Amino acid sequence: MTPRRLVAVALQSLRRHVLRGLLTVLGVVIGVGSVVVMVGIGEGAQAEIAARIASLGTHLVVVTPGATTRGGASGGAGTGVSLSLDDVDALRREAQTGPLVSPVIQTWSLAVVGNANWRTSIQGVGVDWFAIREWQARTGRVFDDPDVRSSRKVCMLGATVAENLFGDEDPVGRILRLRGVPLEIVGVLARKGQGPDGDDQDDLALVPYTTVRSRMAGRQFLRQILLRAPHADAVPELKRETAAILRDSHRLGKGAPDDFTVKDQAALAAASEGTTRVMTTLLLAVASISLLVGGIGIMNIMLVSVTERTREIGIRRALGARARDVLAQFLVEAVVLSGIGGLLGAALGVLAARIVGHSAGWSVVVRAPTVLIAVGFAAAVGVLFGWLPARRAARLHPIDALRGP
Amino acid sequence: MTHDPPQAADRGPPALRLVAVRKVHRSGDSTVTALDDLDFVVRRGEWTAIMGPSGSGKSSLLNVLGCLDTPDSGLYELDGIDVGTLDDDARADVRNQKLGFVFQGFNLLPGASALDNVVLPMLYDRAGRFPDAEARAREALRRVGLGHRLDHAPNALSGGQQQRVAIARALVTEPLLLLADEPTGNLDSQATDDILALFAELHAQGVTIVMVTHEPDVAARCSRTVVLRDGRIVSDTAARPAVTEPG
Repeated sequence: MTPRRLVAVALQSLRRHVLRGLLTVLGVVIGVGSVVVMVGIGEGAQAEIAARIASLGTHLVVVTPGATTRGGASGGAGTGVSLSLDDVDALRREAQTGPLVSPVIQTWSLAVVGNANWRTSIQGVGVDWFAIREWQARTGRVFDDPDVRSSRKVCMLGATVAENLFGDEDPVGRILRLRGVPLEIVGVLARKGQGPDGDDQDDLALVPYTTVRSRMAGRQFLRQILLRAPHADAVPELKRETAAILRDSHRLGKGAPDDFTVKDQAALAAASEGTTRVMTTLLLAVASISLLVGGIGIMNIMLVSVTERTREIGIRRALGARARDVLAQFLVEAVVLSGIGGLLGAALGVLAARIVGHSAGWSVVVRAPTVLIAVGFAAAVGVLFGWLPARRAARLHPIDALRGP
Repeated sequence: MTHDPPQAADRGPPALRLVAVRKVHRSGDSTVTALDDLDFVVRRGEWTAIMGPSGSGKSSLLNVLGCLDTPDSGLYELDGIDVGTLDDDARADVRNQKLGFVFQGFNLLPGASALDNVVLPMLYDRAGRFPDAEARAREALRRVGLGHRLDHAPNALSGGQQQRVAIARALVTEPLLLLADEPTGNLDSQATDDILALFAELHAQGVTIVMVTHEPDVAARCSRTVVLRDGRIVSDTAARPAVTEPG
């Protein structure tokens, strides 16, 4: 029989028990449906995280201070005060990969304009910071060399700060007071949105780091040194030489642990990817179990079907069907059954993914390969679990089969 | 109604030949000799009735003739082929190409229309003999007088009509031999007459028929009657036989 014939015959016999068929494939429907939804949610989350990481700027290398240790108790990464502007100078001088370098001095302050105020993160940065973060001014201008060299009393606002202090007004040229220091607003940063941790990246004010240093009071150690490699391939080398230069600059002896941490975006991306991978693996395990259960359901009903149709098998054998024709018939029937379940499940999964994405506000990405693989798996389940019943049918002796069940 | 004279049948070439065919059924400790070194020849064009009490070996003989079962020993030649040596697949092909079956219980596929049932054996043809399977099936159904019932499901047809569909299915591949197992056993007398008339017509057209029956009336229509008992032929009579069923 031709494959088309086989499928037609399978559909013909399945049509006789539509409800039973649907109930049988329910397990497969649920299995495939949940694979599609879960992978959709997983991929949506991954795409979102990737976009947030990309929003930090690519080719980025971040140096943070090491942990402070006081009385044997570690204060945790980033609490140390080990980074200094000398390190920044050393990196500028010695790094062979030719990176852009900017210190980030961070402090918190109330930003005051007239009688409006807004508490925000104040970041003292260098001129390179804008290129490193790939972040432009929406209005006005970014800092230039004279701003930094002369510790000018200028600042830039993140979009969130600008909106909260000025509403729709253009703040450029207005005066803002930070810690009692009046600063001229020279520009507003373009909106960047949420960061990888879900924080608002636009809630900040930038000031030349020299200005923070010389004119503002308070704790002023370096929170970060940001570097940007000239191209992605140079990132590992930049990390290596950054560590070497800093160890040298900090006069760390051989065997002494680093008092700083050097990270790149790849590490961040890998961490988030790892999380997603664990999630996906778990979800696939759940889906596999439901496919397994669905497969057992199909095997069960196919065994019933073989028994019910013993006489049909006998008739077909008497009319000239070979054992393998009978095998093929029942196998194709199982595959058609599970394939239908797979398609139903995929359709249901796509629909459910839409609904979940819409109602929960998640970005859900359902890609064609996901659906195809899920349906393919369902069909494979049909082959796997249809095999035993089909073999039983094929092994029936024609005479016994003609006698009926 | 016509009957071939016995000489006419004798003149035909053999359609099948059994030499010393033995078949023993074992169930548990007991063994039953179903066919006891049976010799049997059917010539082309013969309409042979096989009679005998139950347990005489009728069904075993029919199963062997139908290549559904293999004899334990002896020779079975069908159309010059030694089918006793064939494997399962080759026997399936022989059934498909050379044999047509008509059963007591009709044995139609319940979910398929009359037409689909008649198309069925042609689906298993591997030689590509039937490119026009559906047209052939229609023609076969017309031949048995069911040209107007093509799309009916078997359960929408009377017993006599179902048996006609089964006969059409058996004939559609133009088999060497038509094997019928009590074909009128489930039919009322009117339908029995109709079906026997149809067989007589096929016989007149030269179709070779072997028909198991236990009704002398039915056997009386055949051109030859063979009576079995305990796996042996005890009587072989040509034409209008005066044999009554022994036992």
